[in-house]
Amino acid sequence: MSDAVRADALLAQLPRNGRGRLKVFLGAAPGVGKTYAMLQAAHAQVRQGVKVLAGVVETHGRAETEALLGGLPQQPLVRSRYRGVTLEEMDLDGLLQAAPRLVLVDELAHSNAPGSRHAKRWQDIQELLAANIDVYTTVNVQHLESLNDQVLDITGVQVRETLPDWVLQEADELVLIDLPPRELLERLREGKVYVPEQARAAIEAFFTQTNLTALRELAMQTAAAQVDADLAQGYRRLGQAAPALRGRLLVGVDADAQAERLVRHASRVAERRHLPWTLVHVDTGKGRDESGRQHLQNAQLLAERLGGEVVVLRAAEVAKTLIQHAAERRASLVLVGQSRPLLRRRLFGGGLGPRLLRDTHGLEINVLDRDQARPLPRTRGAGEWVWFDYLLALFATIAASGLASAVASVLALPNISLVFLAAVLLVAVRSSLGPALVCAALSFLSYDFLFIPPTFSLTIYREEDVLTLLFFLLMAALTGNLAARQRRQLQALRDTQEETGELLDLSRKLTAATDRQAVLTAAAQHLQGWRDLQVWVLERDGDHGWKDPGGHAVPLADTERAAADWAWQHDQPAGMGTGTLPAGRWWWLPVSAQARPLALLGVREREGRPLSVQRRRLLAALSQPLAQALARAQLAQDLEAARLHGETEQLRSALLASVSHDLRTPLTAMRGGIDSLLALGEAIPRADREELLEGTRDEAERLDRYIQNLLDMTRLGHGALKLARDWVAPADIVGSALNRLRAVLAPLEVVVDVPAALPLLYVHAALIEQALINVMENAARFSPAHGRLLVSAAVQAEELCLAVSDQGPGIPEAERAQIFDMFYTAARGDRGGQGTGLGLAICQGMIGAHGGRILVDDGVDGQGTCITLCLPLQTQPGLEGEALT
Amino acid sequence: MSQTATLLVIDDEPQIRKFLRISLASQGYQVLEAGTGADGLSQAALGRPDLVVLDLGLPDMDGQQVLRELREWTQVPVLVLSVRASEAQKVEALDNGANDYVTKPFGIQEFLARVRALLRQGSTADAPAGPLSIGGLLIDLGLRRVTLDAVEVSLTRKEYAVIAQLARYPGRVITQQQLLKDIWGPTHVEDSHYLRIVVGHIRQKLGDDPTAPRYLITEPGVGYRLQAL
Repeated sequence: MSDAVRADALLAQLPRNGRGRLKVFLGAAPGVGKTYAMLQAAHAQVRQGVKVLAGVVETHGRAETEALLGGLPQQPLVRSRYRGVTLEEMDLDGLLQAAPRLVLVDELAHSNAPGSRHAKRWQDIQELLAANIDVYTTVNVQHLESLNDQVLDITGVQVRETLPDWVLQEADELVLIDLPPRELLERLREGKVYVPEQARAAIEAFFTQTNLTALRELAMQTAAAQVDADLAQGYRRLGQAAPALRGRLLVGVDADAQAERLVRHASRVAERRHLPWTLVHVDTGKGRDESGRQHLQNAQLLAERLGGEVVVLRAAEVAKTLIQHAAERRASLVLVGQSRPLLRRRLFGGGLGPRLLRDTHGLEINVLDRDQARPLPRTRGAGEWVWFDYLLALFATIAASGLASAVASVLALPNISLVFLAAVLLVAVRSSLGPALVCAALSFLSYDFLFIPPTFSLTIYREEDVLTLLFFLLMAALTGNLAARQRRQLQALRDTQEETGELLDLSRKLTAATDRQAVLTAAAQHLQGWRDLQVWVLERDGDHGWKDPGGHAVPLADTERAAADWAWQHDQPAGMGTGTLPAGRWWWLPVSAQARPLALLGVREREGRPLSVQRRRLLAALSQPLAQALARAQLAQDLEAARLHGETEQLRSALLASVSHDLRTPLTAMRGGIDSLLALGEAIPRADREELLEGTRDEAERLDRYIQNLLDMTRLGHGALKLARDWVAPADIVGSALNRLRAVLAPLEVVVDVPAALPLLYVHAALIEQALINVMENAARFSPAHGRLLVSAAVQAEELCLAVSDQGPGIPEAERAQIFDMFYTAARGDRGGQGTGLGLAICQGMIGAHGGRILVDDGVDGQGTCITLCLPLQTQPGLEGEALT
Repeated sequence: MSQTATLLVIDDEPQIRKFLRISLASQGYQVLEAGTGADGLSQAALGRPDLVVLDLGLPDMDGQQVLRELREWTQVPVLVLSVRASEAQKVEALDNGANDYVTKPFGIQEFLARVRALLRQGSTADAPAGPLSIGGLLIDLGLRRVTLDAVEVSLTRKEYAVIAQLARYPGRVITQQQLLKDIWGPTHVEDSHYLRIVVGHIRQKLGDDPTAPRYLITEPGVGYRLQAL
């Protein structure tokens, strides 16, 4: 006991994850006193020093309520004009800015005025909660989406303002405000319940003892379910009696009028039993007419609104697929509708429900009975198409009759029926079963009337003709049905194929893209290929703007920008067709990975129609590989940055070591030489004195070259190396390098082989000269005394190659790739004293910057080393003949 | 040649001034010293030196500015001390009226040779009257004739123009922009390849080794000079 109390206390102190708490005052009907109760609770909070602000509270002119509200600070409402009417709405931005601890928002199910940020007030509340503001709100039970049908059944009133059940389920506290129906009716008679004048009759019809009792029961059930859920959740948090696996509810719907009812029922059952739930539609490729499609789409949208998941499976067998999916998802409960009472079903399997029952073990199957279908308004476009199909049937029959008459003299009477059969087949292939059967019937009559004796009458004399006709009709029906079904299946297959192809295609293109820009460009190019949609792939431009993958700013109208910004900030779709900022013409879908938006898709139907659910789902599916590719590009970039950082660190420490060791060596020699001369002076023979001085000078020159290398390295490392290219003769570079290395090369036999007629290089001469100097100095260092150093230049293919060969020890094959690594020499320990190890790395950098490459080979006659610098040759500049004469 | 010429060294590094003073004095020159640009300018006005050695990196003012101010009133030869890898700086100095440059760190022989060449020019004023002779090469600007070991070298007009331009200031570097502008015209200042090819042809005709030229010396990134030492 004391443990549980302690745990409770701990729970109360748990951080709220930066999200405000929602307290809902639930009532069965208007007038039970929800607003009053909410205001009283608010006053209690004020007394405790909580900063409370009333966002919107409807007092309906009741004195007690107004008195209570008067004592609270209020956020003024915002006014907007819509079609000449002034509308007042809660000032969401004002509230967010004021940032009180607690906001009072009456009427949770309220629909906002057109042009508001969100379509529904509950969405405003979600934003307040997200900003870590607590909210008190009120709602009547009839507004719950899943109870819509039940409320209609009870009261005969279709409630328009509905609220997704999950909003209530996620409330932290639910307070049931209860008033017995008799007392409520009493209050109504006393005029204590606000009734708008124009709706008096309807409302009074609504307020009957039976209605109110039924609604009260609903409210109590809802509250009880919530208490139940809280309790279970509380137990789970305490680590006690947590149910092992909750399972899942699958609701299987067909594309018919029952779909939405099933979804509502499923949501209710799922809520009562605390199950997550999924809407499954098995697409068998059978034809769905336009109204069926509409029903299915509505049901899918409804399920998404009610907090369910939506899945479409493609298979031939509904029952088998449902069972399989149930097993995959560990579902415990399957809900289906009652099948249409067709003779065929009775004969072969007895409908979906019984079939499921027969084939499953350990799965609960619920079957919801059929309701009389509520017809949906038919879309005109579909109607026209149907008429066209029936016209086609008529024309096909007439054409067949004409053709049959023409060939009647050639063909035997029974064979003439084949002409009509062909027409039926044609119609079946072009349209659906209905027109095919009409065509069959018309053909039957026409055949009878025109060809079967007695002609020009519908009378039939011979029995065999009757049989012929019967078979003919059967054949027509069969083939027509078959052809129509095949065509539909083909269409369905095409749709699927298109979808899969789309995904595959995009994935393939994204795989090829390596960086963020390339990914975005590839996606944009791919999505622009959709003919019916206009798609933008956008990314943030600074803090407020948007830009396309090309980096061009995309100017958006205010409405569109508000929706795009909202979608980006909240990582949720917004814009047309959603509940948030739907005033614009674009639908905005954030592409995000790990709850971080990486890009934004803007989608618009070219004709301005709302996007279909299929299109939305396909886009959402496509956004996943896109998000993955973007995340991958981001990761690669981060890794590269980390690697570069690591390398820089390594370079820094190696550089320090190099400076402290290698630069001091020449200095030591210089100082030693000069000190000896100063101290000993004339005691040293003249020849030795000169040798000491020359040594000092040579060491100074070496020091100068090291410093130059360090400077170059820094420039290369900072990417600050800017190529100042100019046309230059290779001989000049070689000559200048030889000149600067005169002292180093003096003890060697240097052979220069540079032909007079070499093409010009278009390079930064100083850098190439430095690269050549490094290679030659390296070669001189490893050459034996009086060794031969061959410096040559030649054109090979499209390159000019400067080669330096020495007669040193050579470089083993295995080590050749490493000699260009920075500080490679230094890493070799005692021999490192010969140089900084920067030389060849710099060489690599400089030649690389010019698009060239460096080759390491054996020297002349396989002895020593030959290092070749290859530079690409540019097209030689055009020469005007007189320019040189 | 007067060995009592007066030289002004403007450099902020006392060590460098000291070694230049010792070396120059050993050759019989009189040396004035200045550690700042302002001091250098006033010494140049007071001391009337025959040659100014100017370091471009001065603490108080930009060396290029010192050069411009000098050139406002005197044509005294100026030898600029510059660091490597700043060809643009060298070219700018030459454009501002410097007569030659040496790159730090430099050898004293090279430095003294430059000083001698500049003093020689200063004393003979512009346009040397007689033919110029470098080893076997003889350039006679009056007769527009070039001979190598007494054999006439046949040059095209452009080739002759280039060698003549360089011969007018023997030993002095002429920027490639200057050469291009004077010989090909202002629209061809960027067409450095003309110059490269013409120089290549001249060297071929003079039998000069392009990697170790005796006559026509390339100053990488800056221009050319005619060897005159």
